[in-house]
Amino acid sequence: MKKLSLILLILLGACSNQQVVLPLFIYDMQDAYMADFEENIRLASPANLPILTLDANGSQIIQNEQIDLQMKDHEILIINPVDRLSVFSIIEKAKVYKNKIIFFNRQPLESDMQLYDQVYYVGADAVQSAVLQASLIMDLFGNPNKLNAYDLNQDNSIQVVILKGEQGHQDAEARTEYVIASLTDANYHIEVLDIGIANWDYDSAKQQMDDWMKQYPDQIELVISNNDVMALGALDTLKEVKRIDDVNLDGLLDRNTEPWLPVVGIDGLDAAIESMKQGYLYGTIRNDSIAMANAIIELAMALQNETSLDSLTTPLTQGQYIWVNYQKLSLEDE
Amino acid sequence: MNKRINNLTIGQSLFIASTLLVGFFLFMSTVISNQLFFSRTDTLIAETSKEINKQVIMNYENYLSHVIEISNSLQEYIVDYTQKDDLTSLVNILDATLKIQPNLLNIALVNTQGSVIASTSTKPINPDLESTTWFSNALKFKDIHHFSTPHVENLVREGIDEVFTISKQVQYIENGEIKAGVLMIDVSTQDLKTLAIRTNLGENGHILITDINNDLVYDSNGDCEVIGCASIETVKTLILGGQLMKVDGINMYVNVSTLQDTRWKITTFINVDTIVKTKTDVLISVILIFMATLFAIAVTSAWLARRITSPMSILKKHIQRLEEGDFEAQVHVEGQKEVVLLAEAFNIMSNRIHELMMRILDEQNEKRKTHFIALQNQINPHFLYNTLDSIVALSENNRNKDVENAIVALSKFFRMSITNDMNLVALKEEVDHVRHYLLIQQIRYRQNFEFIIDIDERLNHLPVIKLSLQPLVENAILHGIHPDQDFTKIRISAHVLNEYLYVEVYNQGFGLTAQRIEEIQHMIQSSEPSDSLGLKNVYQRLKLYYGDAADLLFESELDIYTKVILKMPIKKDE
Repeated sequence: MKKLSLILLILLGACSNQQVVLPLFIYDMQDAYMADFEENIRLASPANLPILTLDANGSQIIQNEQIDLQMKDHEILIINPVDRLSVFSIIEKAKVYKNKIIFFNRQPLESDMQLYDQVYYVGADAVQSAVLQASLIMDLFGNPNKLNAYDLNQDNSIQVVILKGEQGHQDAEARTEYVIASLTDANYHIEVLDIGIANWDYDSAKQQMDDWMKQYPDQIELVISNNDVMALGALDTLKEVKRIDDVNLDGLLDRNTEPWLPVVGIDGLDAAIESMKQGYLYGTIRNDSIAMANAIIELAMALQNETSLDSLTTPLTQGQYIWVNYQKLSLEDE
Repeated sequence: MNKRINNLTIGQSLFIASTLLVGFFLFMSTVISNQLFFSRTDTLIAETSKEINKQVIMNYENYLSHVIEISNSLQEYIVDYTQKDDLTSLVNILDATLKIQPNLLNIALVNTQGSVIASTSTKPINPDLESTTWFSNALKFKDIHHFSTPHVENLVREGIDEVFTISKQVQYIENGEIKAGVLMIDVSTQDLKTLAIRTNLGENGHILITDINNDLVYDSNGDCEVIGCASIETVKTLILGGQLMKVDGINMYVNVSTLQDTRWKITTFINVDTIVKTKTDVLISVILIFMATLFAIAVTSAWLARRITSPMSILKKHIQRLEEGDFEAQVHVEGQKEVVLLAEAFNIMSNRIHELMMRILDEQNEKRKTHFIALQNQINPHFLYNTLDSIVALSENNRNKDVENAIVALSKFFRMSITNDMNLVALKEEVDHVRHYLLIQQIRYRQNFEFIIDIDERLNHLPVIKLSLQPLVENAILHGIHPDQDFTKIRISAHVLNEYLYVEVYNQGFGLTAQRIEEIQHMIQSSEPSDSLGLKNVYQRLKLYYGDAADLLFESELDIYTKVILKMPIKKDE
């Protein structure tokens, strides 16, 4: 009898041997920025609280299943939702299971966040990225009333094409709207030649740029991109059509002596910074995933240990939001 | 506990041990295989249902995202054409979209005051658009597409078709100024139904689409037209995720998911009743098999135990009878070979015990008889009187030396007869006893016979049965001495041949016919009483003591001699 219960105990023990881990749900690990982000979160997490990454492969159904599985065993979930409009049901369920959720990168609707006080959002304000992007542009073009040589036709107006991430996407809309608004507010005269939807995507952006080079071969004075990936796509088209050209083949582009057209991105991807250092990309806005990762882990630890949320490095606003600042990146700022 | 275990009969222990052992392993294997089977089945149900669920949702998502894409494209056109103030072209684009997408019933751009800027409808427009939810929601939350619950089209005044409306706040240009407006698209609910019909969710399986407030958007069963049905309650409790549950008595795998971009929930009810019932059937049959096997084993072991123990209890009863002294009874059992052999051996044993007991009894009897005879001889008054008379006669004749010899012989003869309780004596002692007897008889019969004792000294120590020789000698004197004849010879001799000791008593005389010898032999071997007690007694004791190896032999020639021979093995067998 004793032996039997011992065996049962061992069996039970083997089943219930659960280590405390932090489940991290990523909408799609194919997304270079998210892969980077995931790594930063893992690096930020302490050894006694390892990260369990779950990749939804871009499907909310898969992510729902993953969340449903983990909710019962883990108090704290870190979620990068596939569909930010769908998270209301995740929040409702978390309320039942008494989970605490940290959303990041894709911001749930405010009305959904208000459903439950134990959900948090860590992210960057898209408006701020647009304001900083506008500031980069101002740095380049100089005095709004008397633009410098980058105003190619010297009409004191900047002819712009915009690569928009996704129609209806919150960040894409905000970045597009506020970059123009900030420039206009600063008395710059902006002429938007076209806004192209390139779905955050390299190939679509490259194709779009190709079309524009045929449509506006000489007019374009500035390319504004909602993210770095699209900016890099546009740059490659510009290189192909020799609109940007490393004439002396020294691997570096000299903006003063060689053909160049300013392209600005947002995100601060490694590839973008590399391109910037070679002189191709004018600049980018770092969406600081390291700072965000640290903020996420700091918040998760505080929730785990049930310590006060008042003393977080990046303070909590409205009790549920942590806003991490963007940073301007250009050769001039280096 | 231990005591109780020790007290069990073979049958009980056999029964308990085999039943427990087989029962335990049977139980374990049943439980383990069931666990495996059931967990696999559960996983299979969950996996399959989730896969079907995914397929269903993907169909809906593809369909709805397509409508959103149309909306997104239209937003670009709206900006382009309103910038050029070319509303006619915009209406043309909207009309063309309707023609390409027959599932779309109305498309309209409405300003924030609820007046239509561009529309595909030719019917009179509903003057109170501000009261519609699609309009108010779009104004309230500007970034997203709003999906309304199904309703009769309300863009126009007298709508007939059932639609759901997708609305979104958009930008348009009026007089060079960016303004906010609402883009609305009415989608026929027909496609939601078509998509549902295409999916096979089993009997009673159905799809339920609800909005964020758990209000019904679509129910493929049609049961939930009235607000609040069981299915909606299920969605409310599940919130998100899949679970096996009973809906209206049918086992369903229910999966609540979200539909991307719509803020709708879609719930699939997949009929898995057959699989679950199969599971139950398997469980029942496994339990039945388990019980039946256990029963069969119990019966078999009980039968086996009985087969072993019932002959043993017969044997036990038989031993009890043996204890009470019944050695005659034979035991007959049927059953396991070992028990049958045991019973046979037992029979042999009891027979042998019986035989030995009877022999001991006979020996005791014969011994008693011998002593009786000896005692008879001791007190035989004739023998004593005659001897004493003879001694008196000797004395009268002044034969003092003979008197002395006679008295000494008589004394020694009697002493030998009385003392010594042992069965066996040395040949020399027995011969001395006979010698005294012969001396006395010689005196009595006044030297009518002479005797010779011819025994090698080396044989003196050999054991013989006590008082076995005297009756033979008495016989020889009785039958050898004839009053008409003067003289008879008696000779006692002994020799060893082939491990046998032969002691012969020879007398001259009438001799015996072969027929007479046969009669004598028959007489001494039979158990009937007879007059010649002496010979018979010797024979019986020989047989009792030595068994078949010993014998009493007769040899005779008419009118010449008679010889009686004692044949005894030197080493007693056994």
